[in-house]
Amino acid sequence: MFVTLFQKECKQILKSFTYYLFIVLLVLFFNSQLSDFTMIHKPVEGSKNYGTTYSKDKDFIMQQTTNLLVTDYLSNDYIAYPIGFYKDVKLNKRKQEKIANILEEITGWKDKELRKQVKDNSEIIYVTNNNKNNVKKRIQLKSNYNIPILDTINYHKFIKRMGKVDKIIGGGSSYAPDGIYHNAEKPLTYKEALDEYNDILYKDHVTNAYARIFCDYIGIMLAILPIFLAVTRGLRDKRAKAHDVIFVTQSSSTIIILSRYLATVVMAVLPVILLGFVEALQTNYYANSLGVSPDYFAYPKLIGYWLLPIILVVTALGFFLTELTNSAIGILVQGCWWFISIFSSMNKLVGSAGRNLVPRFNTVGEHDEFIKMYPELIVNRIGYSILALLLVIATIIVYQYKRKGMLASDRTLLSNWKNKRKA
Amino acid sequence: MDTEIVIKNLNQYYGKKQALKDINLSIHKGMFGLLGRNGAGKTTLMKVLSTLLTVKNGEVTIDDVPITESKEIRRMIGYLPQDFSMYPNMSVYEAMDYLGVLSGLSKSERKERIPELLQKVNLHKNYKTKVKAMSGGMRRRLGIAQAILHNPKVLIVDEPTAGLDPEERIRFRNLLCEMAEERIVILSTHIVGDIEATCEDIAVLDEGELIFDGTVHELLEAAEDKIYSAKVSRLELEKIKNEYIVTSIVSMGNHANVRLVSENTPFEGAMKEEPNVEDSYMYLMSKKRRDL
Amino acid sequence: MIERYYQIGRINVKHNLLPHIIIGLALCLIAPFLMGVNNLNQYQSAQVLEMYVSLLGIVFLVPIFYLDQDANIREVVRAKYTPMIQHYLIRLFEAIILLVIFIMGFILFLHYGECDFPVGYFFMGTLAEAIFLGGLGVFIYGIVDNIVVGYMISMVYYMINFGCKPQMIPHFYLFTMMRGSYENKIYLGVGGVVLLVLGLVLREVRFRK
Repeated sequence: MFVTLFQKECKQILKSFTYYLFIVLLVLFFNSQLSDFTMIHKPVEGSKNYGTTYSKDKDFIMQQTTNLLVTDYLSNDYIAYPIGFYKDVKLNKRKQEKIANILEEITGWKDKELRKQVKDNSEIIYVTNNNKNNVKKRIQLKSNYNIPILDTINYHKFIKRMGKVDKIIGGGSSYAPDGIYHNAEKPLTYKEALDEYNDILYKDHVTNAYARIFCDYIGIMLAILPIFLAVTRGLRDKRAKAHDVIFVTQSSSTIIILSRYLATVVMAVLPVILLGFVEALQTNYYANSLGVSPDYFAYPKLIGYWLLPIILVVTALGFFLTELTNSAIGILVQGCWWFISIFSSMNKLVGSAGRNLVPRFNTVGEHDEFIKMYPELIVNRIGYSILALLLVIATIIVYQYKRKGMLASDRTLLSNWKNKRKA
Repeated sequence: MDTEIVIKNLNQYYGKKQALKDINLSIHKGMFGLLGRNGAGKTTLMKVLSTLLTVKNGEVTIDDVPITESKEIRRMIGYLPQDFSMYPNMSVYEAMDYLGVLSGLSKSERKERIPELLQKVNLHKNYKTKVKAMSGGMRRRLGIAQAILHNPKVLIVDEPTAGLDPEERIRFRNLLCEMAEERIVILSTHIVGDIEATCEDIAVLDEGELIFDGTVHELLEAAEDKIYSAKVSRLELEKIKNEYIVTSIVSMGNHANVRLVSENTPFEGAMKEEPNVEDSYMYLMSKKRRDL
Repeated sequence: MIERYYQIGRINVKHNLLPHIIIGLALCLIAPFLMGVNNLNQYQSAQVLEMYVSLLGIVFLVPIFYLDQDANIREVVRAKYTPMIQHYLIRLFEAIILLVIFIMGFILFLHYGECDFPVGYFFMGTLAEAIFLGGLGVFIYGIVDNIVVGYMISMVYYMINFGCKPQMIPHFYLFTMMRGSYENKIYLGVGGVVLLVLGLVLREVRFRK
């Protein structure tokens, strides 16, 4: 019975206009991204520039970060991107004191001492940030001067304190623990560039490197598109006034909701698999042409554990909110969630998973970075899959309540408008 | 054993408003009519019987199965709501097939039952007609066909003839009578004619209370000797309408033939008449008003 | 006459726009917590306006036909003396007034927060973009009689712009002010008005029997 119902649901989706729109939009987006297919090049020895990278040297990261924090503190001028938009932060006295305390823990210097030490080793500069009205006075350390860090402060302790600083500033600052290495940028050497190139070839088998960026941008669309399928399905019973007839059938609420949900998820993932297949043909060929045997499972694997959870949770949220409110509110809620997920990872487009719905990996390569992100990514994805499951269970409960007449299955905001408008 | 529905001390509330007040009723095979004005509580009772509302206070059983066992009950009942509808882009056959699956029918059962039922409701030429293209009458017939797909012991039909043209209405009544040969059919209506034509047993609800429960014959008996007809001038009409319950008026030039309810001979020239169901119903309602 | 228009407008505000006004207000009020609204330079201000404030166009314009979504209500209103198109025009007028007030308010807020940008140009640019985003939704809603699809197209158009390069959508790319160019805004403004008009006309034709 479940299988038959599932098939019928799929058939219904195949007849719905929203579904074809879903496919068209997905393909359009895919195309717009595909057109800038990045080729990979073997670095040539003797080049002037191999690009830049972020240092993995913990002492260097700590040093650069501390230097930055001291100047930010003394200028009381912090920059943050809480959701990807620039934000200038000025702290009040109490919060500045908290920062001073943290600096004392790291350097051993009290505020007065710090100011005295820095005074001789810094200069005042004026920055305009292109805003004519607003010329900011900042303190800048002399290039050969570093703030000394106490020996008792190891990396772990340091990160913990920076977490506090980030919280005081309000999040999204240069001190956010997962992005702290951004403060330690350095040029890439020939050897490092070559390693990077070899990683793509031999560790990623080329295909994995491309599959990651595929997931990166398809994820952006999948964080919104399934909501339309879910809301359309949820509202269909109300639009057709079909709920009572369906309520009194003997099928359990679990079977009804689950068949609808799984049909929506499967129909949403199908075009993604197809697009993945199309791109895989291309990258497999590319790998062969570079003399590497491709990983044929790169795309299916990544779509499975990276993209599928997005579809699962977005669809589940759509089902839940539509069943609960009998309205299209789910679209606006998902719209907000999309906005926040996308913009909050804007300042870290490679290797950010965290708690984000849409993990970003907007680059071809950087195998090491991916390995570093992997455990976090898996935890994140499992978390969202569980959330999806909970939302589906909640939907079933809501549906069950409606069937028993304990929640309204139809609500028309406009019923009394008809009378009033006759005036 | 014949199917039997037993309702004991049923009270049902919508928020603070009491929709059903202490209903006691037993229903047996055949056609059962539930009569009452709009808002009398008919739909509430129907929804309780079809598990769409949870019983909070009282006891309802169908063949000794308590109504709270919704899974078991849903196997036994078929329900046609007041405004039956299905997904507009489904065809007649698809809609039946979909609801058949939801009702737990196997593929072979569906293949056998659906054409049979569509034949019965005269939709056998409309397999491919889309729900959105159907007239009100056709839709209602599809509704009845889906409601008996799983051959339920009890068929519950809410306001079945509302919005149908006279021809459709008669056809639909006959269809229901046919269905009632082998099961309980409960139909609610505020149109007295529906009951008169089809039902053996009836119950009358008013403001959530059961004010009559018995056969059509008993209802008629209750109004025996209380129905009069008279020819009055148009000028008198207003006065009579104010004083008596008038059940019908037929205008004839300057005069009008009126039927009215009265305990004794109302005025000279009025003649005693045999009550019909409509008269009896009006009598019943007027009696209740006076008791208050 | 005036009274009739007032009545139509009042009903629209009360039964249709009110929740959307609340959403719009909420969007504006949470802005300072999410992003900088003081001391921004021209490009940063443009980002706030183009990527955030212009979304108000979707909020206010797309639900324009929602009051008569239900066929029964639509027929009752249609049967009345006042032509349906007048209802639409009044609702459209109200939505645009709201947009102007909200965008103007936000821009002044930024301006007095010492942000540095050409107020007039940015106002027109943001309004043009909002009207385009909303107009796209209204146009689609007018064609398919389904608000979900209306929202879908507007929102996805925004997202596609977010994910692609400017040269891929010539003339109609949304986020140009943050790159220092206003030229596209003329196309967006005119395009938006055309879409709005087409949406109204299509809706009118669809239900005129």
